[in-house]
Amino acid sequence: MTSIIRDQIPWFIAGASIIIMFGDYILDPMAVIATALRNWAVIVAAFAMGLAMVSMTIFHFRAISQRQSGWYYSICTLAGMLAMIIVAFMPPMTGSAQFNWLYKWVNTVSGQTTYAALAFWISAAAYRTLRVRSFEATLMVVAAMICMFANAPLSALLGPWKPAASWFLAVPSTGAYRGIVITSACGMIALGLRVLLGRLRPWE
Amino acid sequence: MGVAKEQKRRGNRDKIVLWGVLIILTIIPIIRPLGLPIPIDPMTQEFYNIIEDLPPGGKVWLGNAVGSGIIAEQLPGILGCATRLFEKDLKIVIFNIIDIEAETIFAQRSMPELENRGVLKEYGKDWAWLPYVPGVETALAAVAADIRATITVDHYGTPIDQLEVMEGINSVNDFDLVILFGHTTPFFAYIRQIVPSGVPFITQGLTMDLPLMMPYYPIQAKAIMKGLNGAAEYESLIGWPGLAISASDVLNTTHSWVFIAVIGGNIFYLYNTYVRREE
Repeated sequence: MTSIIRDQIPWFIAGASIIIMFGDYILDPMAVIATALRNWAVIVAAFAMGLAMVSMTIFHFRAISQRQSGWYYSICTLAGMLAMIIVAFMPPMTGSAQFNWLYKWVNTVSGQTTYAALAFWISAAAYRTLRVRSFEATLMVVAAMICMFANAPLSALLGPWKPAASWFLAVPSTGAYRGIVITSACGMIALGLRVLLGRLRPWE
Repeated sequence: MGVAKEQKRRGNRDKIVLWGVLIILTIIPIIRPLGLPIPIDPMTQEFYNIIEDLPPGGKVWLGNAVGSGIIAEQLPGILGCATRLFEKDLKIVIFNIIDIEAETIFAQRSMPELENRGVLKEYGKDWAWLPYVPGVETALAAVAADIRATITVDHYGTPIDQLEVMEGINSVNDFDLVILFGHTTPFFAYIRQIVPSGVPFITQGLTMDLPLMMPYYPIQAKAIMKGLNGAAEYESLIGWPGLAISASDVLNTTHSWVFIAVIGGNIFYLYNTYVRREE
């Protein structure tokens, strides 16, 4: 019985989902079932967010109670989550002045700051790593410098600079990446087939 | 041990100089714009042309996946594009799928700016704003296949059946153009779930994401606007100078500085190598 619940039922659900979603591309009548399945997935995803919240609360409570490394960060996380939940439920739902203030001046600003800080780390990393240590490294430095400066609008005024950067992006980079994309797509098909045939059971 | 310490000290000194100048070169153009020219990239021109070629009343799916982290690079783009779409009397439906923050960010940052510009048309008749749908790519697939089966009310809680702009719109196939503003996660989801419908798809990507997006140009993505640079070019094309144009001077100064710093670093490196070899 345990084997059926733990093994056979998940395999049947995974296999049926693969067949239905694949069939949606080939057979018109499958569209109705595929649409229903996708809508179920949206509902499940909504529940998953609630479940994630519960799971996160348990995880951080445990970290605090056991005084794990960095437990004080867990207090911040839980306090932040609780504060957002409280203000989100204030009428009008997710539209209160408190919710908007917290979102705009804490969440958004933090996100923007983190992204903006990348400029400093990337510039330092470029300065330290882009060194002409060997022939291969020199090629990389030249390509990187051409592509990097092409992001400055001014580069368009420097004759063939921008076309050269576009060539790097459109020919060697795109060519190599297309190969990776096609290969990984083949890998995805193989993965789906392995799940369908019961050779791979990621739920175990 | 002494050599390692000296190298670390030198590395920290270099970093302070690099970052210090970077901060100064970011602040100066903000305080005193330099007004450097903004040449138009062919891809931005294509982006512009595709929107310009839409007939009046054409239906546009405006995919908003601009989260808090990427506001600086994508907000000017979505504002410029939305401004032009409204100016052109198109029917616009704004979708907030994939990025959970996008709907709130749009409400807090884009809407006030669009109201300030005075371009917003009559809500419900000319445009609609649909809420966030959880489920990432699966949600996008569900909405693309059957909008009404997945979304029943708009951002304000009004049933979408009551919105005039939604008449005749049931799936992505009912649109004339799909535009996405977001990073690679929504981009790849749109490539897989929206592009097979055959509706033309254009997007604005982050500058650092371009190598990942380019393989899909021009077959799947008909045009890709290149980050903040592209947004500045687009603002220039539509004649609505905004955030991107004012930021393009910063792009010029900071990129030039990092370029010079890397070249300088390499000159010092080669010089040091030469001196060591001589010794």
